[in-house]
Amino acid sequence: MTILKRFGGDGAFATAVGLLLVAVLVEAWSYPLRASIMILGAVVLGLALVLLQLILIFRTSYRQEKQSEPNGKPREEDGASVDSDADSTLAGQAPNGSQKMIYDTPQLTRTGTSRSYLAGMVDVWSWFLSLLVGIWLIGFHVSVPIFGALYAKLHGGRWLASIIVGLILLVVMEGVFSGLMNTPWPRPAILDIVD
Amino acid sequence: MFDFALEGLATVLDIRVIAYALSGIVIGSVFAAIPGTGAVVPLSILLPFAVTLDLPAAIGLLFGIAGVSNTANSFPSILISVPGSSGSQATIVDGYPMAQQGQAARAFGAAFTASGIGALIGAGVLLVAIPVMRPLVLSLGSPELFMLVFWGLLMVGVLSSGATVKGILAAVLGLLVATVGMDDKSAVTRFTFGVPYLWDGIKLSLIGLGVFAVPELMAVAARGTAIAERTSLGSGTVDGIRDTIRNWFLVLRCSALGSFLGIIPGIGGNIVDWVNYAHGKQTVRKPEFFGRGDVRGVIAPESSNSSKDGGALIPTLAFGIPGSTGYALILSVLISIGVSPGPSLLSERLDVIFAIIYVLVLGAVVASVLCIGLAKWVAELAYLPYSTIVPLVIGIAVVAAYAASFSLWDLVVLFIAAVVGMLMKHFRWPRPPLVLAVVLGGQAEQYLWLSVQRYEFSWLLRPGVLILLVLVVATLFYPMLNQRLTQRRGVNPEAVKQ
Repeated sequence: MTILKRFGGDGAFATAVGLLLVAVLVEAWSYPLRASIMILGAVVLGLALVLLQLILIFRTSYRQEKQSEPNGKPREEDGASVDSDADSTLAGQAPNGSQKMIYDTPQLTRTGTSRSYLAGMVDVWSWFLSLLVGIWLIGFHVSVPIFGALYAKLHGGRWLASIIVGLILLVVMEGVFSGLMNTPWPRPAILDIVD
Repeated sequence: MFDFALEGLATVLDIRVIAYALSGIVIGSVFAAIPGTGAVVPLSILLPFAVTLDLPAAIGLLFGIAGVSNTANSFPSILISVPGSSGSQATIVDGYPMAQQGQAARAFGAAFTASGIGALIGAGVLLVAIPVMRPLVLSLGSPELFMLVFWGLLMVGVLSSGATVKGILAAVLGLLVATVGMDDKSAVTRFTFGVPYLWDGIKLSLIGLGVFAVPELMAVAARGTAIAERTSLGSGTVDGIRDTIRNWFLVLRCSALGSFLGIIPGIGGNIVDWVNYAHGKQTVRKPEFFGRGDVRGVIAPESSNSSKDGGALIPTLAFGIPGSTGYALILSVLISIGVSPGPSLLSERLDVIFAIIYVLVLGAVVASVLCIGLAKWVAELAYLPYSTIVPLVIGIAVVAAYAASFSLWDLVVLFIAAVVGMLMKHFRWPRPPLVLAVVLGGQAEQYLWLSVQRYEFSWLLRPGVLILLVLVVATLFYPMLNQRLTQRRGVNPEAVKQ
């Protein structure tokens, strides 16, 4: 197993956090002490912890490799990691305690690499990104209700329910955000382009 | 103190404040009844709106939401075996079998009554704690307060996941996020990269929405939740209420234990829930029925998860160390409205604490009555398909994010925070320490700088600081030491945890 494989995604994420901390250190070095005292302390602590985390990941991976079957295949089939707590939660059982989820919202999903889950993730992130781009391009009042109605319709909702979702979003925007908060809505970029 | 109590009551008895509190109670109950959302999502969404309110209205709205989040979350737990939030997981063990036996209404009656009584006891604990907190907080200086904040962050980091290193690293990231923007002490702009939008720092509501709300909704959407099979509620709500009253001593014990555990930062609903379920099982007669639809298995966790909130408010209001993620968000609103937790709150603004207690009491009573009375209709929320929940909540979340500072940059920050939140969720990095550190970062930096400026490095030798330093070291190394000792004794640590 190569070092990269041994670290996996978790190691890559920890490394990315480490690199971010180094960048923060470089940037904060030029600040006066009163502006950087806590940053420097946090970064030093953070870098030490990133190193420790990488060592822990490497050690765990090494142990798993040792315990793996003779053909070198890990015990978890096809490398898919299934969230045991999520499954037990869904099944109505107590989590096994190895992954405590304290005052975090409960993990209701598989976080493994099942194809449908990944496809679902790509789908919903595409919708989210489209919504943000849509807001920039055509404004909140058009893109948010359309997003609500279209998402609901294209994911199995009835027409009536989908239109109600869009209308609720419009009412919330107008009632709460325009009415109560006097929100100044941004000018859609498309108007600037047309002008 | 009596004057403050009356002043607080006068504040809450304003019709506008009651209207905001009732709105908060309804919003909190609706979100709690939807699987996988909890109190953090509505609090994050309403944060930009809440900072525009005056103090009494903000207290009514926010504590209305937070105070009832552990009541209506029993609906999905009992009906479809999916917890509404982390505080209602243990309810599933006996609540779901009861629903399958046609006793869902009885389980609801027991759960909501126990939850209401628990919340009242939690509010009572907070009330009793005021005279104790006052002298303690007033005796602390900047060095001790810095160490307390540091210890609180470590506690949350260590306890929030079972992954100590990741938890503390998440807190470090939160501290760094808190430093973005103009530094008041030196007038230096930090990590702004020439973008004026960043001068004011990164808004907490964006972190709350991005790191918590959006990844949870993405996960619900990606899973494509199938609509659960409908369960008949049956009848027997009154029997459930009677069951709770009959088991009054269990309710009292679990509520007291829940309040006590709630005081410790980092002990969340999940732990309190399971500890009290275990306590109930160990101490009642004929525990063999637990797990097969025993109503006492519903009463024990439900009375504790609501009482926990009263306990969690003690460190939040006294030391500015939020006992939970929801209270971290509320604390940020209170600070931005001009109420700072700690000595000034406990000496000059005790009326605020009394107002909070009254709202919690109102929430406990109204939410329980609402859930019992409208069970048939509120239960429908548990069956809402993801195709309705996801676009509604994401749409509102995005608009709420824009309202953070009325800039399209808010949406860019939301997107980045959501990506980070999703990665943290995927790789099991605990997210509460990050949010708490963003809230506490400013205070920590201020206390640290004041300590260094006033005492140089001799502040590290103050007795209070040394005691807290011992606690910090113990917090860091006790879990590792305990694990090593368990392994040395030849006991499987996983089995012990289970």
